[in-house]
Amino acid sequence: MRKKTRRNDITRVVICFFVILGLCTWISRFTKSVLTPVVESGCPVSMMLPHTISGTGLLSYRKVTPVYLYAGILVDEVFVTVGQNVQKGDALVQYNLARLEEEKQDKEFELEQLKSTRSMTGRSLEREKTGAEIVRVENAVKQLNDLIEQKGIFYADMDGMIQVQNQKEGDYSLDAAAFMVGTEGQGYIVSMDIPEEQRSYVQEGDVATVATEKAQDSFVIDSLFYDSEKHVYTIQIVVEGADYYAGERVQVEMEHDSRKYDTCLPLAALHSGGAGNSYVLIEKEKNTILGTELIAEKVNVKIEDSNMEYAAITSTALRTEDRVIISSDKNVEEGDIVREKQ
Amino acid sequence: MQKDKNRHIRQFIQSDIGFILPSLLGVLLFTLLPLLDVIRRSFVNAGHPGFINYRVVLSNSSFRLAFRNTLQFEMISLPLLFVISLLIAIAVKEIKHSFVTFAFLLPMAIPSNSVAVIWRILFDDHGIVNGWIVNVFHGDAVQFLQGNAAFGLLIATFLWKNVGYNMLLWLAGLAMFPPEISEAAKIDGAGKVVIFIRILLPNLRGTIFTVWMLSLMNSFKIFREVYLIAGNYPDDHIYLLQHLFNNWFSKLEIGKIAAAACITAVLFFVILLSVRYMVMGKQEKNRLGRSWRHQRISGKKGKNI
Amino acid sequence: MKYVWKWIIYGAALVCMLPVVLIVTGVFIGNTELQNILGAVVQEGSSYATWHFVPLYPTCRNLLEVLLDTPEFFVLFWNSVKVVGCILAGQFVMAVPAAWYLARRHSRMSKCVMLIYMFCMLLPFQVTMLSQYIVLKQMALIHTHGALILPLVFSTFPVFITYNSFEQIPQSVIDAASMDGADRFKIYWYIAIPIARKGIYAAGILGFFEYWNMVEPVAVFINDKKLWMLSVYLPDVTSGEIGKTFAYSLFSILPAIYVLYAGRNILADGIMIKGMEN
Repeated sequence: MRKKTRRNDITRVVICFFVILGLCTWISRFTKSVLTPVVESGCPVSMMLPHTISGTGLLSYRKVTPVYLYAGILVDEVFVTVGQNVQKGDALVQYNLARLEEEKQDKEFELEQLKSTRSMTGRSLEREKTGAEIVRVENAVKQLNDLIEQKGIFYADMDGMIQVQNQKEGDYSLDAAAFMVGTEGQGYIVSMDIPEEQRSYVQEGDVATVATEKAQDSFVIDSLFYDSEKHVYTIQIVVEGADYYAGERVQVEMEHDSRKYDTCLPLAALHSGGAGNSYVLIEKEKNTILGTELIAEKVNVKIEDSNMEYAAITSTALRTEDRVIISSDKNVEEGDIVREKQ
Repeated sequence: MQKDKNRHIRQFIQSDIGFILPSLLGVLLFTLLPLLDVIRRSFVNAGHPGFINYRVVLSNSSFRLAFRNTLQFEMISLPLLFVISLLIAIAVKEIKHSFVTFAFLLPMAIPSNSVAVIWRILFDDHGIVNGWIVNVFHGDAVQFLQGNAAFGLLIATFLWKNVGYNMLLWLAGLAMFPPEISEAAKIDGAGKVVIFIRILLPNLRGTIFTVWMLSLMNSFKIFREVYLIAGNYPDDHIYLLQHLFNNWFSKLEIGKIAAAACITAVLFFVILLSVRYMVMGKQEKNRLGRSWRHQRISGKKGKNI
Repeated sequence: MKYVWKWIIYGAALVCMLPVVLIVTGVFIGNTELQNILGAVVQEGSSYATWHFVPLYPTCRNLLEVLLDTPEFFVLFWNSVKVVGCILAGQFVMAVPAAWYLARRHSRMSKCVMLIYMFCMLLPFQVTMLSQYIVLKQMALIHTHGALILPLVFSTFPVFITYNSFEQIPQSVIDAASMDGADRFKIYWYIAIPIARKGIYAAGILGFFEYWNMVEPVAVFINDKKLWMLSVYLPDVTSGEIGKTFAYSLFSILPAIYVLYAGRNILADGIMIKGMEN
């Protein structure tokens, strides 16, 4: 009897032991699989990095005509702004009437002076010169009279769009063109600013896609120049087509392929190692008791070029067959065991 | 009647070869054939037959060192183990406390890598034992893994591990020994020592042989602990034959291994035979006679006393 | 005199138990405390390692870490269980019948075979390991568990142990059975094995200790870490994870200790030595 119960005891203990250990085996594997980061990896590729510059460009008429004002008169108001369409007869600026009158009087006085000078001189050369002067001043007076008649308002004499406005309210009217008016007929120009860091990716002759809400088309970049006032690079694209209207803002996109780089990786694969250094983590196979496991190993790299998705790198230790960890569901450090996504 | 019995038995004996055949085949394949192969290889060196391997091995200083160490170890530890385990067996028999038996048997059950860990902690130059020696006994720290101390540690480890096992064997042997005889001797006035020498020992021949053989077998297994504690190239004093074999194996010095293995095997065989004869010689003939007497009455005479 | 003897024996027993006590207490000591008391072993210094039999800050962390967080341990454990189980099962099938045969047949031939078997038992592993490696390689078993299991299934040690038990069976019992018409296999299975079962258990238990502890064949025949056994793996004592080492050791010892505990009486009874003759 005692023997039998002893035997049963032993059997029970042994079975319990195995059951507990079996359970623990399962638990330990479970915790390990839960704690092991699952990663996606890929090999470095040899490719050209396409750089896409996109931005909004402003459509303007290609054909521009300057509009000159009567110089030197205080301008009280400017009725138009850049981008505004004007038609023949639209008011452009409001001269200061008082000043106009003053000017007119000055000019009239000048005219009289000139006339008297002319009558006083006998030489023909001087007469001619004075005569020319008199004509100029007479024209000016006529202009001024007209302006005064128009209550000091200067009207547009053509249809078009104000594309450049140099004349500001409160300033004296300029000698140079107060406005540049663009008119239909010769197509359009899209102007876009390019920030300094993207300058190297754009070249004259590149193809740009200009897109409106309705359609998009590809055109060639006509010119690229540096605007020293605004400190940006500006490109101009000549656009032909009937679907465009001046003043419209359009989406401009340019793609430029860089040269072919040997090792390119997705941006997500790169990590910052502090002090400007970068590194990637590669998978290294290791033979362990649990079989062949993958361990993350750190490899230092230097970034040559990058765009939104990829980066071209150089590295002394990275080989083309190394699998680089691109993304993982948990934080991976050097030396961690990782698992590939199934 | 007898003849029927004989026939039955003869049939029984002659027809149950199947019981031993698988075992024989297995032993042949995995132990004897490799042994023969080793013997063959020992005589071959780079395709030429000859004794050159033996010459190399016998003159090799490592082999001499290992052989000397192993021999020393066997000659010191085996008798020590004998005596100590016998004394403990006798004492334990009287105590009859099963826990003590259990405690003595424990070292046998402990795997070698656990022993290695514990021994490292205990016997390191800054280990616990040295700590006791220095702090409690105010002696000098002993470098247990070098020099003669290492040899002493080896013997101590061997004794520690096998005392329980041998005690068990002695107990088994002593159990076959009916107490009446020693009672009778006591009554006759014989002292304890006399009983021991004159009566116990001669009748424990079988036990002595078994104990001796199993101890010899176990003495070579102590290599495991030494290897795990001290690595491939331990101190000279504990460099054993197995270390040598292992190192030659990793360097693929096949000829040397084969020759050394042969020498060892032959030595074993000789020792086995001689001790067996010494201890069991007369016994054998007795037993043989008795079983024969059971089987046949007529015909051949058994070799009785 | 007897009193002194008694206490000497008790003392010796305690010394034998010491390593187990160290491991059991060590499992519950946290890693920082272990660093403090055992640090002298790891780093060079002038202090000596000590031991706390009762930890200052007991913790189950190491235990739980090994049990729940270390799949490697279980791989090793189940490998060990598998290998030892297969070996013992194989030995029951191969060695026990052979012992029965040798025990009942007293011809010169069987004496010779027994002698050869004893000789094989004595040979250390290193003597035959080279050629065994080649044989196993031919059988395409190298670097698998078969390389561990197969040679040891045919180990002659259990033959030796069970031989002694089988020899004790009186011939009369066998004769009676064979007269009742039992064939040889029935005699073996229904009579010999039950009578000698203690010897068979003893052989199994001793074999268990031997194979649970197996180191050299694993190191030589197997180089795939997935197939390693508990006895081969030695976590680094010098690293900061000494506590884990203790937990590992504890769990590799526990089965052996339990087998010893459960079988301590059987061991004593099962090992029969050839009796003395008058």
